[in-house]
Amino acid sequence: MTMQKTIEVDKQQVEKMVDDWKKRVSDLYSTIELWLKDSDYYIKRGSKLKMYEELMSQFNVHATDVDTADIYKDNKIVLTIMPIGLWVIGANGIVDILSNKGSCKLVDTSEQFETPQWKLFNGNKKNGVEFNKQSFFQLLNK
Amino acid sequence: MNIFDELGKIYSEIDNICASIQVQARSKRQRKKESADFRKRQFNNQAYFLFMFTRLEDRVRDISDTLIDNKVATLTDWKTKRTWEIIHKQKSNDSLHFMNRVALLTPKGQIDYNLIKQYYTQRNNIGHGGSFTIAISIPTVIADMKRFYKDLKG
Repeated sequence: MTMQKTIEVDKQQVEKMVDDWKKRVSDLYSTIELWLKDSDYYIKRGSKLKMYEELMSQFNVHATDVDTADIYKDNKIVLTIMPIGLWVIGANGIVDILSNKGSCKLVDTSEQFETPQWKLFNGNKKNGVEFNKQSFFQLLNK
Repeated sequence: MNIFDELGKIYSEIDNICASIQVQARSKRQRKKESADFRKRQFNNQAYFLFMFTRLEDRVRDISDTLIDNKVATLTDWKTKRTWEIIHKQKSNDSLHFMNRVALLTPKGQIDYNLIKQYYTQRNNIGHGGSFTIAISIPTVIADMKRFYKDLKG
């Protein structure tokens, strides 16, 4: 896992990070939507999660909402995707993926404002695996 | 199996059960139940994080105690020994701060030191009745704790 660079932070920077996080999450859902095309599954953006992390409070940045998403098969939820936090020790954001069989984590190991590098941690792989169409379908069919 | 893998396994078993119930509640649009299970998972994160951090604290204490005792017992040049005698006194009256012990084992201000400091801040938040001020990934915590346990040396 990469270490984050130390950068000077101000209110504008925090707002930019929050916007970037929301975009990365939204792009993630769009990517999954593409992967699910022509399959028995579909993704639907679900309820919103309130986002108000410590740095936002520190710099007086307003709370905001971030989308969750659900993946359905036969009109039943099979996976739920919940963005848990942007500021994480040793990573650039973390997302929970929940199913009837348990949970796993999707961790963005990229540096700030760089192209996301999502890694999937599902408990049995200590260092995580690249999150791509193959690992995603393995998770769906687990 | 080391203690962190063992704790990680138990943590995952509990988290998986709660996650499964959370998804079922979400499917049935039982919002209160979904929130309650989300909260249970947060408490599980906090409990196991704290448990794991205490193992690291023990390790840091053990290695730094040995280092300090060895220095006081073996150094003969007063100019070098005097600092260690002061540290030894702090150790004996239990006033040697945890992060100062860490600084004896890994360079202050560098990656491992800073990472332990970040975890220590979270440990203090939880230990004093608060919650995480940043998101925590338990698989990452386990990997970091195992590495610290192995790499920190006197």
